[in-house]
Amino acid sequence: MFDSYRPATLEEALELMGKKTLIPLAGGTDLMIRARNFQGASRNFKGDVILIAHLNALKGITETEEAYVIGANVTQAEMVASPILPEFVRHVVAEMATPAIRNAATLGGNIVNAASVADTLPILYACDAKLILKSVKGERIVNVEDFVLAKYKTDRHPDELLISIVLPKFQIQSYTYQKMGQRKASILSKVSFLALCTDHDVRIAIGALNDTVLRSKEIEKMIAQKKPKTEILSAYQALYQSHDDKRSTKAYKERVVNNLIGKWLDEKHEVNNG
Amino acid sequence: MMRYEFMLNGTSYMVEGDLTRRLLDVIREDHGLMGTKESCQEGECGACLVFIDDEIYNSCLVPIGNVIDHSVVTIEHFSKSTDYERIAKAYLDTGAVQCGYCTPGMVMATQALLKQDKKFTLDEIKLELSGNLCRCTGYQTIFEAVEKLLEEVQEDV
Repeated sequence: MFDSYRPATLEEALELMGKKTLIPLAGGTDLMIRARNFQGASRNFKGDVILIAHLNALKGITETEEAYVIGANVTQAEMVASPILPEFVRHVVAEMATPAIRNAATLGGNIVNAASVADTLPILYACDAKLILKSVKGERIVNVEDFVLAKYKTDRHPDELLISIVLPKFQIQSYTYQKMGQRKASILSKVSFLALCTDHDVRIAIGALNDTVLRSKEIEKMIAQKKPKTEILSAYQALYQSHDDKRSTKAYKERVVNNLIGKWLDEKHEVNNG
Repeated sequence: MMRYEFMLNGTSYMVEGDLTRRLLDVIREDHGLMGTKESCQEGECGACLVFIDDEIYNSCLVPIGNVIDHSVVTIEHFSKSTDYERIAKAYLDTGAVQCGYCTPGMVMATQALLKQDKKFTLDEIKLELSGNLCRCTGYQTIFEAVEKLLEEVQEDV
């Protein structure tokens, strides 16, 4: 058996987490499934659980001059409905899951769960997002690509909670988002493709293909320099580390990603097609 | 020891013990309310939908600790409202109910759509109901019921 805790404040939560290793549980849309058990039976958690969805310190979306700051407890529904967040962010999140799941699922949960198919992660990679983590010892700020170490593996220390996500602001001129799945809604991505054209660069984040989001600033520079399409595609191809899974095959995913990149290059950038 | 409470269908109840118990199990086992169904157990099918503070949630994924100080409404309580009566009539008129297992969840998702108080295309209706699976009707009669309800709202304006 395991214990479950519901501290009243963030301070109490961090104090508890400083004393013993606990599994933080927010909206439950991933962890309650992973802890599945028979109807009526207690869930199958592999350790003591700390409920955090009610913590106000982790709620709310605010903005400064340089960035949007999203609390880890902000739900996907709140992100989609936000009058503050940019359109491409709301678009990506609106294509996740179903209305009822989006009411419960949190941004923090999607990040810390670190599934390779987490659809919010490509947004964070494309924005060079920073994550604020807290423990009784203090606060630290980590780049998203340094935080996600592998599939389902992050750099969160056992005594830390993810507090908020900082999305730096920049001028978006256009964006493209393509999510490929077996059906249009309520589906995990086979692959996803997010391209942002800002006033000073292009950013491409490819989700669900490798174990972590694929983003290459070197290749983005090649795109800005209008290098030939074949050169860009083969540079990306060299970074693919896909494998067959229950949703799709390596061959299919890589071909689709090549097509998505190629189509985007054709449409958005007058690259040299030679 | 903290004293935890939550509201279920307008009555306040204590929450004791394991806070990760599923809201679905509390509703069905502790309170004997069988309108909230269990089917897929993973948030795909929508048979277990309930309202928490008037928004739809999959009760199979909600730990009971997450509804402390919140208000849960199941189909049994919602079925006493005039909103429910309108939805029920539309479902009956279009033949949107066959075996009935998905119906409580489908009705609650329909209410979540209607209370947004805006126009929906057929594609948008499908997205709104995308978290509810029905294995009998083929969905067409359910979409017809929702379209009928949306038309009625337009006529009222």
